[in-house]
Parts: sequence; C-alpha cells; structure tokens
Amino acid sequence: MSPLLRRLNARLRPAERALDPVIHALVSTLVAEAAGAGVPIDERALATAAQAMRGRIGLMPRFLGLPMAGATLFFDASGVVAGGRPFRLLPDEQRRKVVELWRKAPISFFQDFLEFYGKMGIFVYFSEVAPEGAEEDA
Amino acid sequence: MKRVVHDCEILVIGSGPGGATTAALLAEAGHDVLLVEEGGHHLPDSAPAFSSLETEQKYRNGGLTPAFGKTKVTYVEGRCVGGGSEINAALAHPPVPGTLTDWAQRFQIREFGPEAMEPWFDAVLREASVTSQPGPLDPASLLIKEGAEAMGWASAEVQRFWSYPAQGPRRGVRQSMTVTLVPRFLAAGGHLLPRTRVRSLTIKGGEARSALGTTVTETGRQPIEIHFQKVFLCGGPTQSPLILRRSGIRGKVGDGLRLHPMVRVAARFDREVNDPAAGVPVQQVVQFKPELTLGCSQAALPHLMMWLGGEVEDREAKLADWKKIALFYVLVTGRGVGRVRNLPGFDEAFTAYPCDDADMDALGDGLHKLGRMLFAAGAVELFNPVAGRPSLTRVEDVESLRTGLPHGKVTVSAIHLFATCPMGEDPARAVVDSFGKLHGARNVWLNDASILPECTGVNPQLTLMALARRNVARFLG
Repeated sequence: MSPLLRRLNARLRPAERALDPVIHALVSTLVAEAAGAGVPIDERALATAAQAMRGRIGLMPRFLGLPMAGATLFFDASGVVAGGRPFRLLPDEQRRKVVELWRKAPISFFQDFLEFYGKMGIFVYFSEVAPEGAEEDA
Repeated sequence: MKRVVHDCEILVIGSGPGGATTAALLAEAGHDVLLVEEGGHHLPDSAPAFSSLETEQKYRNGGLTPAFGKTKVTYVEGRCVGGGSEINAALAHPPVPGTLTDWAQRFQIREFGPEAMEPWFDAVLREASVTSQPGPLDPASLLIKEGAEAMGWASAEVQRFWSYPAQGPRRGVRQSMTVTLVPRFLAAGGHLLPRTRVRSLTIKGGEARSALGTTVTETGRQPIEIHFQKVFLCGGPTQSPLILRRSGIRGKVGDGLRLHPMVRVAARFDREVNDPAAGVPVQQVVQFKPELTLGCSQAALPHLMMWLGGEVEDREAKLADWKKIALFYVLVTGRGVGRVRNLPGFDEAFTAYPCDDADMDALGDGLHKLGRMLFAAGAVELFNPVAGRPSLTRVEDVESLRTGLPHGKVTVSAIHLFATCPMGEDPARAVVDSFGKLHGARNVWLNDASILPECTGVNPQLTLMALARRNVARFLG
C-alpha cells in the first residue's frame, strides 16, 4: 500500500467505529427477516455478529473496505429520506422499508451491499445461537 | 523499523498443497529450505470446520473476496499454514479421463499424459490417507444417490484426504497439510515462517536474488528480506501472479484466470435429511463431469440460513424443522477467462471474471437437472436461488431455471481457481514451462494451481499434489 493510503487508512480506522450502531441496526433487521417474524432475537449473538461484521470490513481488501464503510454511512443517511431519521434511529417497520428500497434499487452495488451484510451477518449470528450446529469434522 | 534478514538455499512461498509438497520433498532431499506463509499456523482443531471463527482465522479477507464481472463471483481462498487443504472438503478426485492428454496436446506440456503422471498420483495416494467414509452414507448423500438412480444418472462417493482411526474421533481427522506434509518438512530440518508476506522478488538479468516483504512478530510488523539461491512461488492463483507482477514480470502473468462457478440451493423434504454430525456429504452426480457436478454441501443451521434464498412462506415453521432441509450445489466448468491485477496504491489482488450468459446458462441447466433429481428423491420444496422469486414446489416449476439465470439475482460463488500462470512450452502462451520453471528466468519456479492451464472440473487438490511431486522430482534431477 502506498504511504499516502497508509496514512489515510490510519486516520479512517477510528472513524470506522461510527459504523457500529448502523451495522448493529442493519444486521438486526436482516437477522429478524431471516429468522421469521415472531422469533425472538438473541441480543448477545446480535452484538457479536455486529462486531464481527465491522471486523470483516477491516479484513476486506482496502479498495473494497473503504467503499463498504462509506456505503454503510450512506445507507444510514438514506433513512432520513425514507423515514425522516437515520436508519439506526428508525423503528423496526421503517427499517424494513429502507432495506426493501435498497433491495429493489436498480443499482447492483446496493444489492451487493445487502448481500454482504445479509449472508455474513446471518452466518455469524446463527453460529452464535446454534454453535453446536456449526460444529463439523471435529 | 529494522529489517529482518534471512538466508536460505531454497525459498518456498506459500504452504498449501503445492507449497507444502514442494517444501517437504526438497527438505527431505537434504536442501536448506525456508517455507514462508502469509497466514498463521493453526492446527485443524483450532476452530470448528466451516465455522465463523475458522473463516476469520484461516480464510483470506475473512472469507469473502469478489471477482468482478457482469455477475459477481465470490470466491474463497485459504490464508494459513496448509492453505486450501485446511478449509476445503478434502475431496481426493482424480482428473477426469482425457483432461491430461488434452492439456498436454493443446498447451504443449511435456511428459504430462496419464501414463507420465500415473507414478506421481500413485505416490500421493500411497503416502496420504485417502479413504471412503466408514459406515452408511450420510442422509444428504443418500438423497443424491437415490435421486440420481431415479434419473438414470451415475453418482459416486468421492474419497477424501481423511483418516478414521479405530479409537479416534468418530468423524475422523482431515489429512490437511498441517498434519501431514508440514510436520514432515519440519522433521526434515526445514524452517517455517508463518505470518510472513512476500511482496516482491528482486530479479536482475533473469535471476531472482531476494524476496522483500513483511513479517508479523510479537512487537509488530517488520520489514523482511530473504536471500536465496532458488525460489518456488506457491502462493496460489491470485498471490503468485501478484508477486511476479510486482517484481516486474508481467506479460501474460495473471491473465488466464479460470474458475468453477457454483450456485447453492436448499431443498426441504418431509423427513429429516440433515445430520450436521455426519460431516461433509461426499456423494456427487458424476454423469456430467467435468462440465457439471451436482452435490451436497455442509448444512449446519448457520450455513442453511445463509443460503435460504427467494421468498419463503411460513419461514418460522420451516426453520423450526430445519433438519428437514439440506443444501445442494451445482458446480460448472466456467467458460470465462478472467484476470488478477495489482491496483495502483493497493496491495491486495483485484480479480475480474466474466461470469457471462454462457456461465449463467450452464448454471441454470445444472439447477434444472438438480431440481428434477431432488423432486425425484422426494423433495417437497426448493428454495429459489433467484432473489425475490417464490419457492418451487412442483417438478414442473424447475423449468423456470432452465432458461438461464438472471444476472445480479443469484449468488454465485467459487472455491477452485486456476490458470493465472499456465504451463506449456510456448512462452508466447505460457508463463512457466512444462515443469513449472518461469520462462525467461533461471531460478524461479511456480508449483501451485496457477500453473494448471484450465479448470479441472473437479476438486484439484490431488492433481496439484501429484503435479507438485513431478515438478520437484524434475528439479532434483
């Protein structure tokens, strides 16, 4: 990585913590959708999944991690347009609407964005709530 | 920060099946070998297989790396001592008959036909524990077997690099590099340097003299310089070409990327068919190899949740009964040719693969076959792999998949990558010669999946290990 990008990276790392509440809210919405209405969400597993997702962004190649972090903040801001408040502050029903808007948007990156959080967030969440189910080849 | 300097006779970069085989055989032949690996050294039981922890520990980029194209293909690579052998299904699949002969002729590869390669396959199989699962087939494999029989298609159990000790764990032990060739390498006096990343080679006048990179120590990341007489690049199909390109070797390096696009689909039955304790299912439909493979995947609840696509009615009730759901896949030999590049200013690989209409049509055809077979085996519902579409509940419904899959609406993944530095005698078409030696260089060899000229159509680990043995034997004379 070039020295300029390395310095920029170092400055952005603390800023990535601003992603935490957005990621938590988004993973919560996607997990609830995947588990089905009425299934209680395990808050400890959700917190672990949200934390793990920020870690995954850190593990991505930086040319993907930086846009993903930016898109996460943009996604949060899109809640203002759709529901009058940032996504992380919206009630559950309106969060679902914002997710649905992104899912149906004719921009493939929006679908990729939701797929990343959907697939990996759900995988980590259910690895936490059903660890015995994840065990294999021990 | 002070630069750490190492000296060795032979440097091996990367410790997957190609690198571990290379390093062990060279060390056992009495050479002074340093094996460097970008990832950490984790033993197989350091994390449950296919778990979230394992993806963080042993996968490059935490498990998700996209190859960009009309439809994005997400691929996985190992990044740990042992490489892909630590994270794959360990299937020991011989090449499909005709593949080696075809490659030998079309790519001008010497001493590469089935007869020439037979001793090297025999040597791998003699030394490794390659075996069938003891006892009856797992329930998901049984569904493949029964469904294939109903369709009149051939299916078979694929043997694995696995060991089932009489008194050991019920599910046996994966025979990955960390329990086989890496210990042999160390016992022969080889030196292993994990968490060490080689960024480039210093090459002058066709001769490589040193490798530059970084190593992670207890005090942080340190620059490293390794002096050697000879070097083997075994970093895999994305990393080996990157190192060469950063070293000023470009040409066709990184140009010929091939892969096996794959789509997973979950199916529900009216009885329990999912036993996570049974391990990785091993039955495959072999009727259409190498163009198409139908099989079943690891399907613990976290995996199922990832792949339950489409619009699902009564999701709660079905998930409460999740052991009635199993996970299957369609794997095709990709038609596209992609590339691996360095993006200016970034260290990581940028990968592009044109998963175009031909690949999507092949996947659709495979899903059509798989769907018919699963209904024949008693499936009551196929969860639609196309986002936003309803489940398929009748065999007639699978016709909708046959006409091809829509770009951007299906999750396409890949686990086998190839051919970014293909072998062959013609330097205009090949990056390395018939035995892995870099064209135009005196002391650089490649010995990993990057030198295979095309897709194998099957899990490549056995082919790679045999090829690596052959190339080391030639090197040793």
